Amino acid sequence: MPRHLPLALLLALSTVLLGSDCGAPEAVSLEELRKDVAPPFDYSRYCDAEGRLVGDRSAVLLVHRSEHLERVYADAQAGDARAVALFSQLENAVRLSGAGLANEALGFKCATAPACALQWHFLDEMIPSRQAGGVRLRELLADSFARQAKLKGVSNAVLNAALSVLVAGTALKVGAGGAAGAEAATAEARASSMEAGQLAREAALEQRWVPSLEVRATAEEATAATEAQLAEAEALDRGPRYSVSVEELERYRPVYSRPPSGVPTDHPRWGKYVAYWARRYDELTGKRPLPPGETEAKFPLMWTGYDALLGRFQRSLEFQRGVTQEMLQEARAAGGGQLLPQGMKRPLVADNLGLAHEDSATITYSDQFVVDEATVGPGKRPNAHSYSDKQHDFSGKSPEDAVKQFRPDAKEAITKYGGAVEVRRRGHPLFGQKVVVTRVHIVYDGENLSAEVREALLIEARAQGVELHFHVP
Amino acid sequence: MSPDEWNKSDEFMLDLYSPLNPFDRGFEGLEPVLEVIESLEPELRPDKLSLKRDLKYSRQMLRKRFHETVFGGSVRSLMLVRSKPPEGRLTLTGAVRDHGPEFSVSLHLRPFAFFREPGQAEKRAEHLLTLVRAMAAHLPLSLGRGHSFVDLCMGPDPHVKDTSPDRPIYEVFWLNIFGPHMVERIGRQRLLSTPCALMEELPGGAFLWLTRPTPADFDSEEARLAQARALVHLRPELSLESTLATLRQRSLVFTPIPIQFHPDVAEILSREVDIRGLKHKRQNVELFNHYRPPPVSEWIPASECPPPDVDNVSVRIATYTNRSAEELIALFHTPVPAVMDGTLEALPRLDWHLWHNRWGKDITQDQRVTLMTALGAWLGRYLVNLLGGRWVPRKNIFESAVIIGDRAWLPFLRAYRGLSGLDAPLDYSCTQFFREAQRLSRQHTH
Repeated sequence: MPRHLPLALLLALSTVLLGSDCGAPEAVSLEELRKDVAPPFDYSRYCDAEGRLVGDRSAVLLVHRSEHLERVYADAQAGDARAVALFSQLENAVRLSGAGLANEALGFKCATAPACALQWHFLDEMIPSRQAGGVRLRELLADSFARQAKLKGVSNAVLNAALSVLVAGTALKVGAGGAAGAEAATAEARASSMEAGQLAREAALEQRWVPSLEVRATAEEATAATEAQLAEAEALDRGPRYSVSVEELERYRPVYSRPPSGVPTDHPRWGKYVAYWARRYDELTGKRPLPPGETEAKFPLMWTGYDALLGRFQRSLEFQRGVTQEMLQEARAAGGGQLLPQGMKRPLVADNLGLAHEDSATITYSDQFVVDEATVGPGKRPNAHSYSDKQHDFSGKSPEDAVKQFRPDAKEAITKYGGAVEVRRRGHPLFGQKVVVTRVHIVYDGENLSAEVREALLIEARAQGVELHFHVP
Repeated sequence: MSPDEWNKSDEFMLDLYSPLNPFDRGFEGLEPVLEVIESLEPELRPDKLSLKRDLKYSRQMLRKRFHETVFGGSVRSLMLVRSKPPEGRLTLTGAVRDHGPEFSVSLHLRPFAFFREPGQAEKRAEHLLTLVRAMAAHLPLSLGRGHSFVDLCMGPDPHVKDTSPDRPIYEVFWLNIFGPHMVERIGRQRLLSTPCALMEELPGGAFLWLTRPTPADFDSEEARLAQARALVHLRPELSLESTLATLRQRSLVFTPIPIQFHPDVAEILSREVDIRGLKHKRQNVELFNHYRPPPVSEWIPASECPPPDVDNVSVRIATYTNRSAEELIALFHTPVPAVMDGTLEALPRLDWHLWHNRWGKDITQDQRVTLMTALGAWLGRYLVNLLGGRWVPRKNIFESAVIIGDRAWLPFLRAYRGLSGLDAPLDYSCTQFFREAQRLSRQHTH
């Protein structure tokens, strides 16, 4: 049915650009497209006599086959009714994709952030044409992406960047060296993207096609932040690890195609586990440097332990996203609220913001960072607040136990997100500036806390100079 | 119910502030303060150092680990814990606030009833005064108070949010310390003429004064009158009537009312009342006293129970008892450890958890189906293991029953209903279902 077709294109775009975990399984894969050899052009391959798309993959195939796409676009420009009808369906699909992508990539919907950094370079594979028809579709995608993002309160700098990536990416590619370059890029993209659950960062770091712009910075930063958090959580995890000699360990190497019984091969976490295991192995055998902050190579966690860790991690990402969402709502409501600092005129909320510190080479990522834009400018002292989101199970805990849990959290938050910091995100109004964080905040999951424990924590937080909030997810 | 039974969560709190921060002089600077703490009465003295991990308190140990008191920024803080009743904590914090350097000593002890104990109240109040005097001998005090923590939190005093010497007098407490700056602001004569139970000048120019001889009766009519009179004396613009009315209103929080929860859901409701806090306890008790769960209807007469229609009855039963029930344990053993041991306490605890955490509402259809299967199997296992029931598995899981005597109970149907709305885990609790089956099985055997 024609109505379903734009949806197929949307799914294909979302899946490919967002990474493996977010999309629906029925979308056409990039792998399939790469194998596609365009047959001679004929309208009947894509639509009926009125120009209505037929078959549930024709939209994806048509935008992928550049010559066919340009032919349809040229005919449409010339006034051919069938071509006009056909192309307008593509336009609608792309508009929808743009809005959907904005929702997911900017963290309003998708819950799997590590895979969610937009992999813009794949757009070149999805819509490879650099001529008028291809450019038109990209412009629409950019436009709807931007509009949706704007609706969600994303700053103009980020939007302009998105726009230029989507539109200018094309032009750049033309200048970058033609067919040979395209081939090399495809090979690289294939190598980095096909490991089922691999974190998106490697792909996002692929610099060839996309200029270094704010939207990439945002996406990369989100990925880097979650990666840093995951690495930290993994290093601290007390789940069972392999305890054999390094020499023997090789025998236990997990194989992607042979997951443990009961786990399907396409289980997203299984792919991640295979990649994680290999990374730990390379660190143990000296083929890869240790991650920052680690002094001794650790043996990999067993599958069940890693799986559980990813599950917990996932929940903490969802919690963080919930907090961001509530803050954005409060910012729009403009009347202050539970989470935002009081009395801000124009609060700007950013999540996963990278902060550099004077006395350390490590970048820390504040879960949320809020600055009052009214206090930014020459001669002003920015009113800037950093947030750390945490979930603990406080049920049945005495005030002492809760406070004991809180104190190290406060200490960590003050050290990591307080003091003099430099904002590392391009496009952020404080980018490159050294600012003193006005206050460090902690947001706890307020679900299982008794009123008395809550009060005890609040006064404890005040004593440490930290502001504590409770968020019920 | 006595007030002390009603109020188990309140703490007695005492906090003292000084503009002189002994942390500035490192461990040696703190030693006189530690001496005061070490000389506290044994029944008040903390015994644990809470640093990266809990350690038995000793000055040597603290000296060795003193670096762990650094919090970053300008803050240094040390928490000592009292692990035996009355349990509590004593926190020493040094920081630079907006109004300047500040050192605070904050003592919390629980239950509050410890300070009410007949025959001990005067002595214990005296120990608290000894502590204040001893601190004042080493540190000039700028502010301080001792009171019921819950009562203080209900009042207008911003507590730790504003500890500056310029703060207004929001309220008066059982124990009050006004620093020299405040004394000057109010006027020494006015302060000295405040109606009170004790007025005493401390070294360093601060005044320690009490509204009543002990903190025990802070919510009594006499104490409220004393608090209101003192406050109105210090702030003549306030009216005695309305000040007193507000305080009396607050005293209601500490006054028990009868708890008459439906016995089948009493544990679930009590837990919810506790977590919502003492401040709202009366209101919640009144609300829940009226609550009656609908009668259990997830059963049919055993004579009408259709026979098993699954291919392999014993395999299906094994699936219920092992896989599904284990799944529930896997899902909830962290928040509700009791689900692992199969005891009766696990039932209301799980019910409460499902209700409080909105498992009846905020889940997807897929989650509901999975959880329903696990929960039904887990619940059925109780009927089998503890009441001698017998599984009758059916292809349609809602027909799968556990037969006890002349009734066939439908645990999956119960579980399904219990997950079908915000309050469903309470309305269709596992606890009530089990107890109903238990009552009828007793009737049957007798």
